[in-house]
Amino acid sequence: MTTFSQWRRGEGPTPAADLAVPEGARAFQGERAGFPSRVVACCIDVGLIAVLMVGIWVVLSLIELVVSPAATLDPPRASTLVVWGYLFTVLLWTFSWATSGRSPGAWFMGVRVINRKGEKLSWPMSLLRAAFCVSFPFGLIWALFSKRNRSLQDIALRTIVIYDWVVKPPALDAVERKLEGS
Amino acid sequence: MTGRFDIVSKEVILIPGAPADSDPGLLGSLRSMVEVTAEIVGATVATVGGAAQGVVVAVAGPPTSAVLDRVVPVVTQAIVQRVDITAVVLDNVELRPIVMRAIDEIDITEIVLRRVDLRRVVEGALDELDLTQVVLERVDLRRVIEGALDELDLTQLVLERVDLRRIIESALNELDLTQLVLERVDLGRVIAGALDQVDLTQVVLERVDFRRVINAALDEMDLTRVVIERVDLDAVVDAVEMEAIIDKLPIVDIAEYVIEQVDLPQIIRQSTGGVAADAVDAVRIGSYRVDTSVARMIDRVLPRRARDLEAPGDPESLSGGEDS
Repeated sequence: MTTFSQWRRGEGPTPAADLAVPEGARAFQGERAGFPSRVVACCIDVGLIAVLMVGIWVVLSLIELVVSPAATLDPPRASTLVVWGYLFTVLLWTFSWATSGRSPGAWFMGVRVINRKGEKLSWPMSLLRAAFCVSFPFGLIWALFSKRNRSLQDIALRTIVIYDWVVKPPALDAVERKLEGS
Repeated sequence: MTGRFDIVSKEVILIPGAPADSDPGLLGSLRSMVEVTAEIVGATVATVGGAAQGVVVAVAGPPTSAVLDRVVPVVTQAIVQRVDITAVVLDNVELRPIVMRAIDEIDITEIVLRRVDLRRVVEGALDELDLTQVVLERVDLRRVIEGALDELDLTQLVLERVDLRRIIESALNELDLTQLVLERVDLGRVIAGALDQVDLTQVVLERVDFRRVINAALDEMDLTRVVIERVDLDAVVDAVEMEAIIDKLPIVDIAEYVIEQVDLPQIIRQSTGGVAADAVDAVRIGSYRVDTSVARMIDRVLPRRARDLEAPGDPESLSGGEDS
């Protein structure tokens, strides 16, 4: 057991935050993420966007039926879906990467996007990367062959995707805030 | 005739072999004394001899030299035997002036030193006498000692003549000084007197090496046990102002430490996340394994070394960064 003195000197075996991560996953936290995890994360995000668009379409259709019951419901056109899907995805990724570095898919897969200094992306950089990824998603394939798991977007914009799982459980953070506030 | 008798009488009384000028000391004086006495005795004997001669002349007629030579000595001897000369001398001679005069002229000390074997005399006297008893009875020892002490610088004498070291060592060897002191000395009074005269605190402060004393005492003692046995720890704790101590404690650090040591995050994860969190973790672990497998497969196909997956910065999951 680590004594309080040792713990204050940082000599403890595991920092508090580590305990939020399962023991088997601690070893590779901070490593560059591989192609499969990143593809799955992107697919989740795209799927969420699709679900979002369907939901929006359903809501709008219901509103239209309420307003004019005689109206007929036509499925959305492909071009409309692509444009709005493109737009929503860019917005989602820009916001996600500029704030936490994690889109919903990235959170689920435990990956995070950072710049070459290990920091969060700036808003312009996030927007640029989001636009690049949406417009040329095949650039991710290069991560399969890259020695450093870099996609074409990573190479062009000097960004990195790493494994970075959930940080702290909300309950612990609440405890700390309460103690500091008192 | 009369003159011849006088000569004969003197030859009988004088001590032969004692030359008159050979010993001017005691013998000379004694000789004078004896001569005086001899004159007296001689006069007496002459008187007796005269009487005897008268008797002889009356009996035998006028004496011839030969007759006198044979008769007078015999008669004189007979008379001397009949007369108590000592009594005659004591009755007729005043001896005191004679003796006093002789003593005045004699250096008795010198004579005694020369002629007397003092050692034998003293040893004989000591054998005969109980000198201690004599001294005790006859000598006023107090006066003698006081007189001697007045004359002498006893301290100086002792310092010069006495080997004090030997005496003291010998005395100490003979004596059980400790026992003697314990029996004879009122140690309480001695110590009290010494303490009255000495500023013991000052002496201790100047002469005692407190560090050594304390270290030695601490080496000897089990201080922890002493404190446990002798100190009322509850009273000490009651006297402590706990709030002041608590104010100095890093409460937040302690709370974090406790949370960490009891693995509270894991407990919260298990209690709140439940099956869903475990499922997410399982998916992430699975995807990581797929990542590594695919990468290994690609790397095997491509002629190159293993991948370099190091990234800058610290992951938030390990550094305690922002929440997801």
